[in-house]
Amino acid sequence: MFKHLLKYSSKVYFYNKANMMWNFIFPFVFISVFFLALGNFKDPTAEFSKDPIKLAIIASDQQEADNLTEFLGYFGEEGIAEQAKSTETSSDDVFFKYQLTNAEGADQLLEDQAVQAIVKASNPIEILAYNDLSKVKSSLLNQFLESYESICKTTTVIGDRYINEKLSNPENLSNSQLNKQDINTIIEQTKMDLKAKHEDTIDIFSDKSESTELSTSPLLIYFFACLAYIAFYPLNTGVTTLTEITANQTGVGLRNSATPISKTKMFFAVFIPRWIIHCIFTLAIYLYINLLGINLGNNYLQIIVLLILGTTSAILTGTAIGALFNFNTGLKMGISIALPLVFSFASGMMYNGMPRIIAQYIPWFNKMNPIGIISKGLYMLYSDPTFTRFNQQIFSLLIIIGIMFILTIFGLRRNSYESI
Amino acid sequence: MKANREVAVKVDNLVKRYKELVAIDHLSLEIYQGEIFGLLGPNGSGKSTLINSILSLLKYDQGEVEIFGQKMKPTAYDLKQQIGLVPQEPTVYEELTVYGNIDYFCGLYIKDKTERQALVEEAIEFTGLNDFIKFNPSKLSGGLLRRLNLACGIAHKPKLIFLDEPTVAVDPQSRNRILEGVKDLQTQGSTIVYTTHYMEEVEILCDRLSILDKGNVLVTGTSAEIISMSALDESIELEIYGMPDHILQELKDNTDISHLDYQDGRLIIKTKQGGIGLLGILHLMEENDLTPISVSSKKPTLNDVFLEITGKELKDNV
Repeated sequence: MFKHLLKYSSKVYFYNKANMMWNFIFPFVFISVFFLALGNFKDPTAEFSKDPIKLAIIASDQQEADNLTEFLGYFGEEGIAEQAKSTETSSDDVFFKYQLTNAEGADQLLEDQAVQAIVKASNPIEILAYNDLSKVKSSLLNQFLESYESICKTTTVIGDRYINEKLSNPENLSNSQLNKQDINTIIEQTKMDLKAKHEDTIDIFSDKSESTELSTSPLLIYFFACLAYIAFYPLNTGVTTLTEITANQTGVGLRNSATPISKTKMFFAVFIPRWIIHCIFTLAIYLYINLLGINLGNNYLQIIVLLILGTTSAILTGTAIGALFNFNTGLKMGISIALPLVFSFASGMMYNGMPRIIAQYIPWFNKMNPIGIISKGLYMLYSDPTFTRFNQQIFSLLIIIGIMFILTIFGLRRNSYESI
Repeated sequence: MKANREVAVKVDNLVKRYKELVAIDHLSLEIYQGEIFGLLGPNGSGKSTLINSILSLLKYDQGEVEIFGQKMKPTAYDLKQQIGLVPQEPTVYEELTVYGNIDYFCGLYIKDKTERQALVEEAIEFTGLNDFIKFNPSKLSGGLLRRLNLACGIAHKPKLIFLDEPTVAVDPQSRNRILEGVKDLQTQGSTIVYTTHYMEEVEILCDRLSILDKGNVLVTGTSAEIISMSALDESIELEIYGMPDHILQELKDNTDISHLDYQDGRLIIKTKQGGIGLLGILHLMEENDLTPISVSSKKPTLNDVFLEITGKELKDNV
């Protein structure tokens, strides 16, 4: 009997043209349009190509310039001017090509289109100008310089603490040595300081973040929110799942309710295939994004888990709405379309500064916004080397899933209705 | 088929309110096993509400429902197993074919695949959908769709079938097919509850019926019983010239005749049911060597009875 239900509920879902259009074709089109809109229309993959970024570095402070070029040396090579007119290098190891110069020289290089950006080596580092640099690459440059600054801060904090410790204990200074316990204390304290500083810097969902252009990667935030939106899109599937088995909502719901099958059994029979289909589909969209050349990070397994939980929370939110509220199906469908849009807007899909505004004025909303949670999870995986805050997002999603599941089952317990 | 007297459905003092509106008002009735029972009433009289309440799909405020001697409740799956529902509107999956729809709904009652396949094929044959099994519902005409709706409700051979206005907006051919099918179902042993607002269907099909209005059963019985219960007269009209006065007087003196009018060769008589009747009048004419040019008689119908009881027409004003 359950197999029979599974078979037909899958058939009904797959053969529904509206479902195919809105749940399967639309997300691909949406992602593609999003990709083209944010990229170069004629050659969108160029946005995400591995050609090195060409930089002119103004050495306003020699020490800063030396530090930066030393750091850049690990990822790229010097000598942009000589190679500007030659064939592009295709080496995967070279992310940057840079040229140390003064302000006038940098302007000239930019004018000659020999470089794509001018970076001023100062404290803090500044990007003075862009030219012909794609949004993805400018985002990458921002991210890279952020990392450099973060490392500089780390070095400074460790150095300061070490010196302070020495000064407060002249004996240690004379010995030029700290005992093991002291070192551990310093390191531990340093870690905490850095963590706090790091979190403030990278958490775009926090109202305490440094709201400089350098502190965020705008394009990736759009894509995180976009993927989160797609993961949460099947909310309407949850709603329709319920309408098909509820007597007071549709004709087939009435007919199904008159049969000798318990509502719970019928719910699972309709829910399970759709849930599986949508989880697979969300992962297909993630694969598609990767095929487009957009790298959302290398923690593939964690991203897959996050997306599956996101899709599960979407469908269960839909079933909870379907089970609990008695308004007409059209209105429910309207809500199931509007809700992901509102959530995604709050998560930065249309404007990347939105999460911070929400965090500032209605912080509780970010905690209960599933798209925000998925988006934040993706962001944390990308930018935070520890999994602490990613795990928090997973935990939040699990709570939402649990609540929605309980609400759905509670709503399903009604077997007869006030009106049909 | 004569119904035996075992009760299939017993509704006792049922009340269903929608806020201020009383949809079912202390309604009681008994439906016997093996009969076709008609629920006749205008739109909004509470027919569908009554069916949904009997099936426990709708919460009711008061009263009890028993089916085959057991109390009906939402989780009475053993009872639901024996029931077939054909809702008012065709309720099938647009995504499935004719065969798929019948197989799906039949499969909710019948586990065995071989048995189910045989039943599905029988239902297709029964409703005359053989040529359309691969069609999707959207490709079917209104009549065929109604037949599919019927097939989905009866494929599992239920003992009790609720047919909620199955012939609304159906062409005459499909209507006849459905009515014949309903008769056949009764022959196969099913009890059928048939709601409609077409009195002629009830007169053709139903062994007994209840007339409903405003959630109340106004009267229950066979069509003949219900018509005879009313005080309506049979109307007889004859075209006859040169009626002698003594015959007119004789007719006026007859206590069965409640009204007589003779003008310009047209004689209109209203006579009580079971009284002198058309045959008696024709016999009187023959005895007096009078030959009417034309004769017509109109007996009261269920619609007239309904009009008499409720003061409104039974049919839609469409």
